[in-house]
Amino acid sequence: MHELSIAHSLLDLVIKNAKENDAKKIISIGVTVGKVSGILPHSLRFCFESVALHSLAEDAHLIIEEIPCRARCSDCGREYEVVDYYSLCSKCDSSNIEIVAGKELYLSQLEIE
Amino acid sequence: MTKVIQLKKKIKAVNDSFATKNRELLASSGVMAINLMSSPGSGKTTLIEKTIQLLSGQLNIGVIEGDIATTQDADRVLAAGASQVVQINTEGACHLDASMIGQAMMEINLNEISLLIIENVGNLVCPAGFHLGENYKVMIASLTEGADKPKKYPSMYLNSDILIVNKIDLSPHLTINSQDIIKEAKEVNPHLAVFNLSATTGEGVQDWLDWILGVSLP
Repeated sequence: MHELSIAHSLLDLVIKNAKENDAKKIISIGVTVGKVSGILPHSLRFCFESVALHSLAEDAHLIIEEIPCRARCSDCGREYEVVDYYSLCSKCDSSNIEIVAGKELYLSQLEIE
Repeated sequence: MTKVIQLKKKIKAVNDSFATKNRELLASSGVMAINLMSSPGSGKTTLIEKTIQLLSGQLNIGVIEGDIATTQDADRVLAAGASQVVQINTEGACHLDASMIGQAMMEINLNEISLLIIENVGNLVCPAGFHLGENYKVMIASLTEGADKPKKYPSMYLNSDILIVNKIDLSPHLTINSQDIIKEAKEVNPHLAVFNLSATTGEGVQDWLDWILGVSLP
């Protein structure tokens, strides 16, 4: 959802951090996208390539790391991977679960010259 | 010579930082804020009108209305007795964001209200992803929308604090009831607090009003 506006925000962050580190060229950009962040990696890639044209990030290689969705059961403490947003605890069938990973959306790394 | 810089910069940081500023301003003025979200036509504006009318004299309520176009909702809540109203017309954007709310808040005298209701653009997908600086995310599901929506639109249910099941007065005409929706919703988010009501007839509204008073008054 809104990959284009996310791509714009990502580009702003990339350029800002690249300039703060005196980059003359950006070789690669590492982005972490959680499985339930609402952002589809392939859509983000498509949009980013588009918005990065004519910028310092134009030729940078976009590396997207996807984080699976993990939940923790508040009743038995088990932590496990979730396929959908919702699931019952894989150990005790409780619905009292908390998402502990999978909502991430951040710029994780820049490789510059 | 190449250099690798490790970072952990949230991409939604800009919106989050506006949201934090909004929250701080609201807190310093002693104002509670709720972000009211739902599909178009679930009854957000009707519930706001009812809330304002029934709490008249007890609570000063400000409203920020978010719509793609028109001032119809702002006109309605003003007529219902809202203390202060600002209409945001997004002219195409499908959700409100924190910077829009920050700007709207500049037109409100926060010292004169205890509760700020933000009525988001009718949309069951996008508003869930954008913090506005609110204290509570409240979503409305009307009975007529069916019990399959929680699992089809999990992000909205997962990111909300409160679920209001509305239009319970239509129950006799439908094949599902409130419990059907609530069961599905709680499977997506067991932490949801639930209110069951009809904004039109007033049935069940008192519990909602009691909650509002409980969180808005010192």
